[in-house]
Amino acid sequence: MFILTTISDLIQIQPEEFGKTSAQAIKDSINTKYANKVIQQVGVCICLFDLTKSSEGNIGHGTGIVNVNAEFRLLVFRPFQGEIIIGHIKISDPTGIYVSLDFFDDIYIPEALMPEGVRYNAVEKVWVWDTDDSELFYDNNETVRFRVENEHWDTNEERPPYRIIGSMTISGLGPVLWWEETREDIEAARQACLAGAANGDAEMEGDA
Amino acid sequence: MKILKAQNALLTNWEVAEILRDEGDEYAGTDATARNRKPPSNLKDVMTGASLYLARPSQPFNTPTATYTPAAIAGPISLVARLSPKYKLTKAEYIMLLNVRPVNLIEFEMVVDEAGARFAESEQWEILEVLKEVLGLMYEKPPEAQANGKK
Repeated sequence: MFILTTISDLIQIQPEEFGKTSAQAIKDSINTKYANKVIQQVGVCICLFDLTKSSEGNIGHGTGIVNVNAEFRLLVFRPFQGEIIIGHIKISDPTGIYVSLDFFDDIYIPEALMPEGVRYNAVEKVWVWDTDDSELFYDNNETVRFRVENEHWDTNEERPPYRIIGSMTISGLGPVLWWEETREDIEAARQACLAGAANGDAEMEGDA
Repeated sequence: MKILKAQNALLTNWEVAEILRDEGDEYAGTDATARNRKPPSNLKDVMTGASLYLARPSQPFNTPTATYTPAAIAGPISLVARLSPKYKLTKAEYIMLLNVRPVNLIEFEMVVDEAGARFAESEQWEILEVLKEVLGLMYEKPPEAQANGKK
């Protein structure tokens, strides 16, 4: 979900920043330029991770701005295809569910990538999954897991520059509380498996 | 701007939470290095959002019994060191084991591709046991009777 990206760039330090040590001035300048910005095909920049190289500063004529050639690594949000991510439902509409991670919410789960048998409840404005014996709701703010299926990059400023298309079809995805089991139930399943494996071995030995 | 390497490391959510905490401390001046200063507003926005996300109780490393430490992530007693001699898992799968922290077979199969074909059920349980030893117990649904009986 988070990666490091190495970048080289000309970093400018304004004269007002001269009160800071150069390390802090360069860091703040990089963060001002990159934090919360999308670099196409790279991801959403969070902040500077580390500065790996920097030149002497050259003072620009007339402006007093110091130019520094810097090489640095940024902490970037860029999930990989197939990644399972925890988020929460922001809102739903008749086409699908929008998921938020607080700092990033251009995540969309279309109806086609939800389990078979889901329907939209237009009164409550939520999606519902009808199982054999109950109705399960995809309520707003519910903690959910989704799988990253696709990403969309866009340079048109009127649209989000980076969007993620996710799915909730495989078992374990969707609201987390649907899948929660008690510690006792999990331990019982584990013991049953171990007992089964032991019996299997015994039978095989018996056959031999 | 020139991108020298688009991707040179994958970090776990726990590591990112630690980095953001240190960054916040530096700007707030609470790390005893006297570097406190006002963060750029765009940095503040994204750090506030990301810190909120990573502080949510739904993050496995925030459960009271979790034991995420630097040693659990890398080094001789890390999750990778414990599992890699016996099981073949990809880097992406390790990231998800750490970020999503499966507790049962459904969740294991959710993060490990073709888990059923690659591992016997008993092996899957064994991996989940190692996860428990290295990363601590996960929150699991409390037994019904107890939940009703208390409070």
